[in-house]
Amino acid sequence: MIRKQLNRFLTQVERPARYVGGEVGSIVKDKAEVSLRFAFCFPDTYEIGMSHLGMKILYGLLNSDTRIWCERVFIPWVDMQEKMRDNNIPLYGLESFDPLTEFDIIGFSLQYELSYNNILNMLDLGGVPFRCENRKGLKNLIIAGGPCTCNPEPLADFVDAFFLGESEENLPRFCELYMEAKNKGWSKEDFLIKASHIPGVYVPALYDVSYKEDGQIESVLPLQGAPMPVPKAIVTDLDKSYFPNQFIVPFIDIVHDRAIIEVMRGCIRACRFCQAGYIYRPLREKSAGVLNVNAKELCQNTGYDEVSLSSLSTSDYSQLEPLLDHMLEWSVEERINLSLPSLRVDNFTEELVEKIKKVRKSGLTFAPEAGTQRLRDVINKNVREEEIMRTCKMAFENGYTSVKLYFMLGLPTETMEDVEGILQTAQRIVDLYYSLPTKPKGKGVNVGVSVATFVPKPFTPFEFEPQDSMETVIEKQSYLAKTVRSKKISLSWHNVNTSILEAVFARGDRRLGRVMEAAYAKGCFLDSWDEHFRYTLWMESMAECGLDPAFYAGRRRAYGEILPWDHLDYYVNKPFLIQENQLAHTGQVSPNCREKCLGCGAAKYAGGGGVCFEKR
Amino acid sequence: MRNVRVFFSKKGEAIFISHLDLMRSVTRALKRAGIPIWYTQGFNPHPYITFALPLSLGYEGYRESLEFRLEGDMPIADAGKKLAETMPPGIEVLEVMEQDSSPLPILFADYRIVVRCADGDFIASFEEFWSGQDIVVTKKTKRGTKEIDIKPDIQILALKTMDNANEIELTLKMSAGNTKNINPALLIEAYQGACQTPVEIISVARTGLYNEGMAPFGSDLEGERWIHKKQ
Repeated sequence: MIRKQLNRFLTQVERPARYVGGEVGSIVKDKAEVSLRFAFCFPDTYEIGMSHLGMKILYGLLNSDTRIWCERVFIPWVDMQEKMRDNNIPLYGLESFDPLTEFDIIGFSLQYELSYNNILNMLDLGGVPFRCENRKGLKNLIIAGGPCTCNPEPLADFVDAFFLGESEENLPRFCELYMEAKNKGWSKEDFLIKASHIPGVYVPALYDVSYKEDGQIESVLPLQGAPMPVPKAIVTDLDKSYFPNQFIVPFIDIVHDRAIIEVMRGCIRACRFCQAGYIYRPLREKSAGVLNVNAKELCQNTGYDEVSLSSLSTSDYSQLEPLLDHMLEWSVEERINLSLPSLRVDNFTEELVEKIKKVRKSGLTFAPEAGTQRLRDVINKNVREEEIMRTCKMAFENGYTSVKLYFMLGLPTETMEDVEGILQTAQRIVDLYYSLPTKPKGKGVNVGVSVATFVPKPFTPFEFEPQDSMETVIEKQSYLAKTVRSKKISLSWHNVNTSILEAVFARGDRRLGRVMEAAYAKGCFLDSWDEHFRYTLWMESMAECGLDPAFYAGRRRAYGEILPWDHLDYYVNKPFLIQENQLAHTGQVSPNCREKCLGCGAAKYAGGGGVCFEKR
Repeated sequence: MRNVRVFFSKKGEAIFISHLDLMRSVTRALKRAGIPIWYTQGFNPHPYITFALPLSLGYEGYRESLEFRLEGDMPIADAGKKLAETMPPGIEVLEVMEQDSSPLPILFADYRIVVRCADGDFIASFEEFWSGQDIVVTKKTKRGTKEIDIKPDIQILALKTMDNANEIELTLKMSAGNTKNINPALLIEAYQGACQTPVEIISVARTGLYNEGMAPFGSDLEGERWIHKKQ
C-alpha cells in the first residue's frame, strides 16, 4: 500500500533510491511465516547507516533465523519527511513497507550523541509513543545498542532495554525470550525483568536514580533483583562469531561503499581521550585465514571492488603482513583494492607502504592528536615527532604528496604553546617535503590539518575532566586561523557548539530526557548536519528544564562522585581510570597492552582469549 | 576482446536508480557474474561500460541498451545467463549479443505517458493546444537556457482515456539520441503553461529506441546472440 503511494512523489525528492529498498542482498520474507519482526533503526541517513558494519552484522545474524525478519529503517531527509507527512505515510521498514508500529522490536543503533533526537523524530514519523510508560504492551519494544550505550542514561525515558557491549550473542537470546513472552502472553514488565538477567542487557526502569540538591547523583538502586553492576557482553572468539558473507549493495553512493572485514576488536593502546580504546577491551584478533575467506566471499557476493581492513588501529594487527600477502594473491588479478584506514605512525613500515602502494594510492591520514610531545604524553598517544617525520618521509619518498593530520583542541592541561605546536608540526612536514631530493618531481605538498574539539567521554581516564568553555575553544581556533601562513597547509575545524552538546549528552544523566523532548518540540533533529543544528534552541530547552550545560560539560568531577554510568561495568574499573588520570596530570605515559598489563580489569572477563592472555 | 551489447528493461523499484548509479550497479552485477570485462587503460583504470541513451530518473525503460568489452573466451550465452542472474531486481536482461560493428545511431524514442488531470476534458483541450503553431519550451543547456520549438520533434501516436477517467495515456514518438534528445515531460510542462491546468504525471515509460530507418535500435547488428527465455 505504502509502496504504491510512494511512486507518486518519489521523483520529487532527492535520491529516491534511498526509500524503496530492493537492493541486492536485502532480505524479504513472508510476514505470515515469521514470529518476530525486528526494525533495525539507524538514527541517521541511509548513506551513513548503510555504511555501518555493526548493522550489516546484526541484519545478517537476525535474518539467519527463519523465525525472525529484520528490516532496515533510516531517517528520511527533510524533503521526504515533508512528502510523507503530506500524504499521511508513516515511517516504514524498507523491506516490507509496513509502518513502524507493526514491528515487535524496534532497535536503535547509538553511534553519536548528536543523533539522539533523530530517534524521537523517527518514532514521531512512525507514530510510536516516545516514553516507555506510554507503550504498554510487548509490541513496539524499544531497544538500543552501540558505543553510546556505555552511558545510555539520557535515553532512559525512551528505551526499554539497552545492549551494553557486543550483541552477537545476547541479541538472539533476547529475541528468543521475546518470542517466548509473546507466545505465553507475558506482560512487558515480566519480560523486561527476565531479560535483565541476560548478560549485557540493561533495563533502565529497573534502576532507581536519586539526585542530590546540587544535581549530582545520590544513589542508583536496582529494583526487582536486577543485576548490579550490569556487565557489558563481548564475543570471546571472533573466528567463531557470526560474520555476514553478503552485504546489501546500495544503488546510490553511500559514505563507505565497499566490503569491510573486521580484523580485530578493541585496541592495545591506551590513549587517554579515546573512548573506543577502553569500551571495546580487551583486544581480540581474528585470524588471517578467516579474514581472507570473509573478504573473498564478500567480494564475490557483492561485486564490490574494494575491501577495507577495519579496526581501531589496523597496523597493530599482529598478522597484517601475512593477511595482505594472502589477499594480494587474488585481489590484484580481480582488480580489487585494499584499503587500510587507522594506521599508526609508530609502526608504519616500508613493507607496508609497498603493499598499500600496489593496490591504492590515495592520501595518507595520521592522528598525532596534539601539537607538542608534552601534551602527547599527557594523552598517552605514545607517538614521537621523529616517528611522524619518519613516516611522512617514507610516504613522500613513495610518491605521496598529501598527508592529513588529525588534532584535538582543548585537551586537559593544554596551553597556547601546545596550540602553536599544531601548526609547527605541520610546517615541519612541509619543510621536510621540500628538503627531500627524492620528492615527487614538479608537485607541491599538501598538509591537511583537521582540528576537532576534545569531548570528555565516559570510561576513559578523562571522564572526570572539564571541557574547555566555548570562549576558550574559539580563542584557540582563531589563534590557529591567524597564525597559519603556509599555503601548503589547509586548516579545518569543527563547530564548537556541536562539541558542547556532544559533551553534555556523553556524560549526561536521566534528566536530559525532558530536554530532548523540549528540543524536539522546537524542531531539533538532524543535529549532526550543520544546516539543521539549532544550538540556541537546545540551550533554551536546557534552561526550561532547569539544567545547565556547564554542569555536564564544563565541570571537573571528583574521583568520588557517583557518575551516571558507574553502575554499568565495561570491564575497565574506576581505580584504574583514576590512576591513569593522575598519570596524565603528571605527564607520564603508560605502556600498551602488549608491552605490559596495567590491570585495567578486562582480563577477568576475556574468557582466556585476546591480548590479556598473549605472552609478553 | 569482443564488443558486447546488452538489451535490458528497467522497471519497478529500479526506476529510481539514476543514470550514474545504474553504471555502478551494472559494474557490480558484471563482477558478481564473474564476467571478465575490459578496463580503460591509464592512471585510473575503470570498467568500460557505455549506455546507448540515458534514461531519466523515475522513467521505465522497456528496451534499453548498454555496451561493454569482454575479455577472454566466455561464450555469449554464458555471459547472458550469468548476467541475467546477477542484475539487481527490476533490471531484466532481455538479450546479449556480440557486436562486430557499430549500430546505426538512435534518432527516435517512443514514450508512453500517463497523466492525471483533475477536471475538464483533457483530450479536447490538449488537441486544441496541439493544433497551435509551435510549442516553445525553455531547455537547460550547458551554456544556460535556450528557447526551442519542440513541435517538429514530436509525433502524437495516440491519446487514450484510461479506466480511471481522470487519467489519460499519451503515446508519443520523439527525437532522441546524441544530437537532439527531447524529454517528454517538456511537452506536458508546455501544455500546463499554456492552458493553466495542473496536470500530474503518473508514469513515463520509454517503450522503444529507433534508428533513422525507424527500425528498432540495434536491429541492424549481426552477431551471435543470446535471448533470455522467460520462465
